[in-house]
Formats: sequence, structure tokens, C-alpha cells
Amino acid sequence: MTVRRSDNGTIILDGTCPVEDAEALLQLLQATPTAGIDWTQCRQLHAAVFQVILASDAATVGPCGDAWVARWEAAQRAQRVPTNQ
Amino acid sequence: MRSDGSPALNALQEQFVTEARELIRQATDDLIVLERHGRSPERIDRVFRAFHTLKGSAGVVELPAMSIALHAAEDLLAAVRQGTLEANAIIIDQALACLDQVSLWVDDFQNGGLLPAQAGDDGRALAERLRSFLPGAQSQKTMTLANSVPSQREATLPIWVSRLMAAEGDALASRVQRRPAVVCAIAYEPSVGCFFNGDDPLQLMGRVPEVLAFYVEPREAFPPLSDLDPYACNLRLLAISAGSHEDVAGVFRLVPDQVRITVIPFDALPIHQSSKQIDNDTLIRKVVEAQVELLGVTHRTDDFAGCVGSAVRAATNALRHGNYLQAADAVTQAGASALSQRDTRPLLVALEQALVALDGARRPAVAEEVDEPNLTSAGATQRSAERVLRVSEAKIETLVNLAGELVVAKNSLAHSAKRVEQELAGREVAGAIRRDHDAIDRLVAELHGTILQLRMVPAGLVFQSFPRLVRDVSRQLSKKVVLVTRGEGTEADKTIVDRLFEPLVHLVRNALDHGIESPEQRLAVGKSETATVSIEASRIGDRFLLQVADDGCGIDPTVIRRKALEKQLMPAEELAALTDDQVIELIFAAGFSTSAEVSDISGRGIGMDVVRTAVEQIGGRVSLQSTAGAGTTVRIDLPTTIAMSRIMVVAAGGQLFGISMDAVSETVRVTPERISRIKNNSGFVFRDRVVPIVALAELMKLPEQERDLTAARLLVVMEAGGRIAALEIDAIRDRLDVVLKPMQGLLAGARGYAGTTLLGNGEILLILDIKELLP
Repeated sequence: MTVRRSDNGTIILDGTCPVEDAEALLQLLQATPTAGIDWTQCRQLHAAVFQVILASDAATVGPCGDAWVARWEAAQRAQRVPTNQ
Repeated sequence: MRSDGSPALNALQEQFVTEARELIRQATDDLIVLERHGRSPERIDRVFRAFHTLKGSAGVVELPAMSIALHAAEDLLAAVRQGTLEANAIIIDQALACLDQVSLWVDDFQNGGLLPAQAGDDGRALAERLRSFLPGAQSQKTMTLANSVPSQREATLPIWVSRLMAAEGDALASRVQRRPAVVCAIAYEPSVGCFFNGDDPLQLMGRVPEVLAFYVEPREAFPPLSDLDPYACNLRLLAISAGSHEDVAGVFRLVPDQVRITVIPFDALPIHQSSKQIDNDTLIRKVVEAQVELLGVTHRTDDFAGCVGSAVRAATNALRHGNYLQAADAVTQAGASALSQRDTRPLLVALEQALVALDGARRPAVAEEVDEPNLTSAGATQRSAERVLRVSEAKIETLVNLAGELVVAKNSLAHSAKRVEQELAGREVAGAIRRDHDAIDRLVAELHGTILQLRMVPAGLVFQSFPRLVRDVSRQLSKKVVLVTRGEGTEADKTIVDRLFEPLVHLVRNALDHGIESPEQRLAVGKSETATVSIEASRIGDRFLLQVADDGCGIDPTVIRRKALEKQLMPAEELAALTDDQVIELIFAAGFSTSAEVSDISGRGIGMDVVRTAVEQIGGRVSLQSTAGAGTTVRIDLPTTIAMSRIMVVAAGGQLFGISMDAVSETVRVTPERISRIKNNSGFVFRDRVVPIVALAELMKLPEQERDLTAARLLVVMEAGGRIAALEIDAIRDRLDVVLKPMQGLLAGARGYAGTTLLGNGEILLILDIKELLP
């Protein structure tokens, strides 16, 4: 399973996370909205999964294993302020 | 279909191509009718429906660029339908321009299964231009008609760019490897259902070359998690790329409707950079190089682990600092294996690769996923003409050749029958063979005819583009012209119909440019203001006739005489002897032009010469009649098929030759007393004309045969290229339908021969090119 909950309650994204993981992740987050998300082992993150992370208040743990996401994540976090076009 | 570049279309796509062409043609016709005959609800509905259907089918085969453009055109037509917009020439022009673009895209689609990379931008620019004509559009007044397609790419800085730049700050400057002149600001708003289509917008963005900044935000504020639909995409992905516009557009080729790419001059970007930051990569490079050097000298076993560990730390820190994350990971892993193997080599390899990656980042366009051929081929690919045959042409060609061979076999049977008759004296057997031959003859003729029918297409195919041409050219010339086409259903061989297009264009352009007078001139001479140009196809026997007529000013023979003299086409006395009709035919001479000025409509006066050559190449003849002040009619007389030619086999000087029946007017026997000699030439009077006699044997430089000087002479009267002559032969042997093969190899350049054919007895018969041989 690419989305699972670890023993300490952290949600772990592992390997290639496909679009279906969005729903699985959402269900886990709905149960525990403040659980941390460990995405260091995630090799590839689908936009749908990323969208769920964005929509939640959950904190991510460590740099994202998906190099493309990791590269821009800092800017992403720095800008996590409401934006209007 | 898309990723492997295979051009094969599936059935749905093929049907789209056929349907789209038909709809484009119909819409073009209707638009022209609409313009000429004015607004009628029914006509507007038809045009509207055609655009609407086209738009729908473009959506089905997933050509969003086409949909965008057609949607805008549809809006325009809807306004016309509602009466809020007048269907004037400018609006019709816009709608036609849209159809032109769509037609080009259909060609692209047919050739490669996809549209060129810039199609999205072109489509959007076209849509914006079309919408600017809508009532209430602001830019209507400032919009120029001519240069409006993709020039709008450079636009003002989108607001989000400044926002993104502010957040990025100095970090962006550090990513600039080379200072680009312009950057692309990409705002990508995937459709809500894009996840269901298998799209991953994040991955797609990852393919954008040379990204300087990237940011993802929700389009609309996210709802509480309990209400979130994980499969509805609510993202806006923003990026700034130093890659070229073409490369960036190439990434979004399949979703051009969802992305907006704005080209911004680099200087317009609000960044402040120091030279120190620009040299970031150089610094990283130096750090990595230093590790390579250090590892090179470290072979002492005692602190191996410490050396490798510090090299890995130093290198990965430097690489991470420059965002070379993959290279950093690779170095870390290589470090681990170096430690386990107690060998520095894996690490050295990884460091070298990191250096290569650093170099690669300096050079753009390393790993872009853009299909090069599709970018460059747009202009080069031949625009395929409309195809009506749904059977592969190669197969038809094979059938035609086969039928030709069958004809040869049939001829050989006739030959055998003749031999049986003469040599074996078995008259009865011969009779049976003859009857068989007759039966085969009939069957073969039928078979051949049927096969040729496969290649028959209606002349209307070639007429289709003329209403548009006449409209555009006459508008350009400010003349009023109505085009009438008749006999669209007349059929002829596809090759003939295809090849007719060019001569017809020349003729129609000539008529519009030189033939038709301006409306004022026409009114002054008492004609109606609107001129008529007609194109008519008809069939007489096995000939296909095409007639282009205009009711313009006609051709003035005195002008032609003067021009011919000026251009020294022939001596003055010879010119004086010509009748007016013959003089008019001179306009077919090479390089003859009666137009005082070279115009861009009908070219430089090479037109009529080209027309004659093109028509003669497909075995036709062209003639012209003109009455000064009343108009000009050009007649093109063509065979309906070109695969078979009817020839006459004649004997002269002990050899056989073939003469095309097309050139033969008559065969006559003439008694010697009717032949008069004028110096070295002989001639005779035939139907009130003096016809020169040429002995074929002499012409072919064959030895003279003994003959009875008092006996009647056998003459074949032939007409070709406007000249008449009688060919003296010894005997007529046969009349045959043959498949003419052009001269090949060494003989390809031999003058005087039209080609060869195989006779029944296996002999090769040379077919004479009468036009070349006649004096």
C-alpha cells in the first residue's frame, strides 16, 4: 500500500503514489486531520494526492521524495498565504 | 498514437478528417452565397450548423485548439443569426480565415494525428480576433485585419508573475543558468475532470524545460476536508520557464485550452541578482571537483571511511544547495556502496555524473519531450489533396497494369489466330480461335473499362475551390463577378481531374484579371455591372470537355499582333498572313503576355503557355475563341482516361510505327496527279486547304523502297499543335488499344517518340510523337 498509517499515527506515502491514493489519503486525513504526512519515501506524487495535502492542514514531514515536488516545496510553503489573482 | 508519433489514424479520426473537409467545403460555399445573396435565416442556419458540427467533432477527436477557434467563430455567427451583427465582407472574411486555419489543421491532423505545437496559441489568437468583431468588443476599432495572428504572445506581466517573483526573491536569480531574452509565464488550469482522463498536471509541469519558478495554488478556496472531492481538480499551476515558447507549448500540446503561456521579456521580471548568485553553479562545480581530486589522492586505508564520508557530505550539500537533488541522492548512494566495497570508484563515477548534470543544466534543451518532426514538418508536409478514392491508389494502379497486360495477351491471341490462318491452313480452328478472341476482347474491354471506372472522379471535385478563389480575387481587384459552374458530375480519370486544377486556376485568374473589366467600364459599354465567369465540364463521346468562359472585354487581335511583333515571335509578313483567330492562338506561345503590367493575380504572362503544356501532358488540346468586347472562351479537350491510347499501326520503309489516333483526322488515298510539287516539297489540296505531304520513311531516315509511281498514295492527314500535314505511309496494318509506356532509360530523351508498346508477337512498337515530327 502506498498510503498507510504508521504505528505512531503518521501517514506515510511510499513509492509511486497514483491518483487513487488521493481518496485513501483523504479518508485517513478525515479521521485524523492533524496527523503528519511523511512523504520522504514517496518517489512520485500525483497531483490529486498533492491537492489533498494542500487542502488539508496536515504538516508534512521531511523533504518530499519526489524530486520535482521537493525542489519547489520550499517556495510553496513560503507562499502558503491566501492568494488572490 | 500521440507518444509514438505514429501517423495511423483510427476509424473515428479518419471519419473526422473526411467529415471535416466536407463541412469546411460546405461552410465555405454557404458563406460565399451568404455574402453574394445576402442574409437569409436559412443560409445563416446552415453555416452556423456547419461550424457547430465541426466544433463538436473537433472536441470528439480531442483537438482543443480547433474547438477554441471554432467556438469563437460560432459566437460570431450566432450574433449574425440574432441580427446583432451584420454579415458584411469583413465578417465573412473572418469566418473564411477560420475555416482556412481549420483546414490546415485537418491536414496536419491527417498527416501526424496531432496539431503543431503552436496550434493552441494560434487557436486562441484566432478566437480572440474573431471575438473582437462581436458587438461590444472593445478592440474592434484598433484591430487590423492583416497581421493579427500570433503577434499577441507578448503581453503585459500577469499579476501572478509579480506575486510569484516576490515570493521567490533571490532564489530565482540563482536558478538562472543563462540569461534568456524572454521567459514564458505559464498558467495552467487543468480541467476539473482531468484526473479521470489520466492527466497528472504535476508531472506535466515537471516536463517544462528550464523552470525558474513554480507554484501550485487552489483555483477556488478548498472546502473543509469533509466536503473535498479528491478527484475534482481545483488546482492552478503557475510557472516561469526560460525555455523557448515552442518547447513550452510542446509540453502542453494536448491541453492547449487549459494553459495560457505569456512571453515576457526577461528584463521585465522583477528580480535583482548579484553576480555572486549567478556564479552559484560554478561554485558547486568547484566543490564537487575538489572532492574528485581529494578522492584521487586518498588511498590510505586507515581513514578511508572518513574521507569518503566527508567527500559525500561536501558534495551533496553543494548539490542540494543548487537544487541538484537527484545528483545529490546519487552521490549519497554511491558513497554508501563505496564504503561497503572499500573502493572509491562508485563515488567517483557518481561525482563525474554530477558534474555532467551541472554542465547539462547550462545547456538547455537536453531532455525536452517535444516531437521535433511535428514542429518542423508543418510547413514541409505536402498538403494532401482531397481524396475520394478510399481504396489505396497503389492497388488500383496494380489493377490497371494487370488489365493492360491482359490487353497485350489478348492481342497476342489475335496474332496466333492470324498465324494459324496463314501457315497451318486450319481455317476452322482459326475461326474458333477468332471467336474466342472476340469473346476475350469483349471481356477484357469490359474489365478494363470497369477498372478505369474506379479511377473516375467527378469534375466537381476540382471546381470546389473556385467559388472562394473568384470571390477573393475579384474583391482584391474590386470587380464584381459571379462564378457559374456546370457539369460537376461529369467524370474523368482522377489523374486528369487532379492535373486540371492548375491550368484552371491560371485560366480563371486570367479571366478575372485581364478579361473582366471594372464595374465602371462595364457600365460604360452597356454591360451589366456584374460579370460572369463560367466553368463547364461536359462529355462528348469519349472526350472530356472543359470550358472556361467570361463575358469580359475579349482579346483584341491588333494588340496581339503588335505584341507579337515587339517580341519578335515571327517575321512580320508571316504574322500578317495569319487570320485573327490564329493570331489569338499566339497567346499560348511561350513568354507571351498581353498584360501591360505584371500583376500578382495572374502572374507574369507565362500562364497560357503553362496551361497549354499542362493540358498537352495529359493528352489534351486547348483552344481559345475570343470576340473583342464580348468575352473569351477557352476550351480544353481531354481524353476521359489516360491509361489507354488508341493507335494506328502503319508501315513505312519496311518498319512498323504507331500513330496516336488522337492526332489523325483522316486517311486518304490520293492519285499522283492531285499531288503538286513546290520545290522539294509536295502537297495537295484537301478540303480547301493546302496540306504538305511528308513521307514517313524519309522522316525516319529509312532507305527508300521501290514503288509504283502511278499508283495512288496512302496519306494520313494529321493535325497537332495547330499544324496540319499528311504523312505518307505504305500501309495501315492495324488499329489497337494500347497501354502506352513512356520512353525509358537511354531512350527517355529521344525526340519524336511518344512511347512504346508491346505488340502481340512480342515486338516493340514505337509510337510517334506527331507534334514533334511535323514540319
